[in-house]
Amino acid sequence: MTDLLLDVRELSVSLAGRGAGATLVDGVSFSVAAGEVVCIVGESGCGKTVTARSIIGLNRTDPNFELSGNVAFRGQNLLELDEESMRRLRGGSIAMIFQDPMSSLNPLQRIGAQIDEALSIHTQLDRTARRRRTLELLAEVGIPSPDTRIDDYPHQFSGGMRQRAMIALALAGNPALLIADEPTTALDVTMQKQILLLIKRLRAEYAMAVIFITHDLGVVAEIADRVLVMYAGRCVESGPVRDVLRAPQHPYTARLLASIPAANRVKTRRLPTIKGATPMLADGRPKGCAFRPRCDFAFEQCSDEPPLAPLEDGAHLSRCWLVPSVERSPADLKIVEVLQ
Amino acid sequence: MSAQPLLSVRGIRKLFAIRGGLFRRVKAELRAVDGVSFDIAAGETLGLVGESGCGKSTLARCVARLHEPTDGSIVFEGEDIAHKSMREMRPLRRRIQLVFQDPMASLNPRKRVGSILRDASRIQGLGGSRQEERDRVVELLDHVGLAAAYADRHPHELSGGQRQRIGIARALALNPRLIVADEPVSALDVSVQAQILNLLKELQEKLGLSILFISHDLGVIRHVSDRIGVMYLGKLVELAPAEAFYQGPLHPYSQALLAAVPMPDPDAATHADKAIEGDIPSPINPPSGCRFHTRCPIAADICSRVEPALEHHGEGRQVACHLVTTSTTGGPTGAQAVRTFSRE
Repeated sequence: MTDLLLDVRELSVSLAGRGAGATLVDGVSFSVAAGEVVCIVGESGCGKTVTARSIIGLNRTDPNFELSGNVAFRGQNLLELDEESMRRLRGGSIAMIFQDPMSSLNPLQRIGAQIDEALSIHTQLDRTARRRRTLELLAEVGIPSPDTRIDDYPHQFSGGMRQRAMIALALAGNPALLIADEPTTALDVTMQKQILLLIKRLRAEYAMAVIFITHDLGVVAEIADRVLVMYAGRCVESGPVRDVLRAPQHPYTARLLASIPAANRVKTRRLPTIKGATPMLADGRPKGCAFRPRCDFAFEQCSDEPPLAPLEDGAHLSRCWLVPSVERSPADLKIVEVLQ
Repeated sequence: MSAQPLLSVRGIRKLFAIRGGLFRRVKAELRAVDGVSFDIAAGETLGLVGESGCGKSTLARCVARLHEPTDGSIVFEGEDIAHKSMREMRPLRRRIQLVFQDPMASLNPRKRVGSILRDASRIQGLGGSRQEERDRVVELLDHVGLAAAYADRHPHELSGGQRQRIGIARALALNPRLIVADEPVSALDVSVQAQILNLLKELQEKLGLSILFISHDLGVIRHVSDRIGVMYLGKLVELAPAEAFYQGPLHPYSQALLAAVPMPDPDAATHADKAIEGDIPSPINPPSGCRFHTRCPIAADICSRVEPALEHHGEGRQVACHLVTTSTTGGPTGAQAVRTFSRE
């Protein structure tokens, strides 16, 4: 990796206080190069959002969470940074956008004023320059006739426009890293497509790295350079997006891909499924490989946790004893064929 | 398809009054569903797809008669139920049952699963002896792949997928002919979603059910439906057999919708850098003519003036678009379909 921007090493987040002991994120390591889009994908409760929030330190002062590990942003460990420096970083070099823009914009403040506030904190611009920059940002994210919309309140915007406004707000600090937590999940597909294209364009224009959290492997295919698949608080597979989606190595990734009722798949009598449900981490982590109870290939060795081991080329990692020679079921092979 | 469809919806409309100001006068009308017609045959699944605000849920609620439609007819098993009173509807309700999106919100949290499954029969006066009731609950749980022991659980003790299984079991309790499922898998994770979709298909085959399946997800719809209906701003813009639809949707909106779905394949053609522009207009003041003309990439003059009717284009396909013409060589497919568009 040429230009390392963020390097997360052995990040663990566990619950303290009531419900103590549950480890939500367990030894997650990954890095993000400048300008790269890394997707973190997984089902509910897999720890993807907690991971993202820990990077930007949204839970660092919360007594319910205990964080450990190392999150190096441009060489500086964010977990040890004082609150004042962290505040300067947030919304500045690292910005975040959320799933529901209505609950993350201030409903009592005009859109323009909210962007203006971010600009006044993170730039040296004077008032008229800030106003001009706000208009530029709104135009940049595709708000039609920004000069008439700048003084609107969030409720006057549609869902897609609110997400655009959120993105404008995130861009105000000229971030090197944008953390996007399910930014399109609450949107309709045509609106989702517009927002994905917008993020792709801005990433190139601003040379911005993006950590994109999603549960949708279709979105991953559309936007990611690299992908990290999480299951029960651990990374089970990571690698370049094409490698992971075309030749998934971990049985969970393979089965997950196979079970998507994708719109480009021919209808079959039955969809392949994953038996059972994701484990509740509050009840304690299953011993050994967390996917073992749902895995068709489980054998004795799976009662020991497998390491996240690289395949031949080194960039593609998988946490499974059977890798790289996972014997696939015919259903999995079929989906791979369909995709190719 | 049998001569007499199980359900026949004709010209159904549902308007909601927007009130405001002094005396709460009617300020405007929201046309949630505006003249929709379709049939569902016995044993068939019709998938209705559309984005938020297109009226698909309102339509589902009209069919299940949770709403009374403003206009139009809903003929179910030969009987028009569109304007029946609640009292008249009661004996008919056992034949049309609903499955909702959020199983936590639609199951009574204070009741055990067994009682949730029993109550519907009791209300309909089909109770039977204790032993019969218990056997029926076990049978219903078995239908949806749950062990008999679940009868004693409360909804909060179940996972999302299990709750949705209970939601389905409750709908089956009265042996309905038609199930109206409104986004039944949208709240579920992918791995569980597939289980529930398989379950619905199995039950349909086993019990000969008809399903009106509402979803915003074109992928999910493909895997359950025999026919697809696409809605936009209260109108049905396209109705087609499922496989033909996915090989080449004819309406420009259907095409845009399908092209916007992200496919889990890094090289899929859908990842092209184009998207239809603009927001969905408000159903309170919908555009004139064809409601899609404000966002349509190929809109012509006529589109803003004249509203297109839903017309037959062969092979059971119906489209509401001025610019779709039927090809003479056995109906349009795939890329050809795009070429059958012509500017006026």
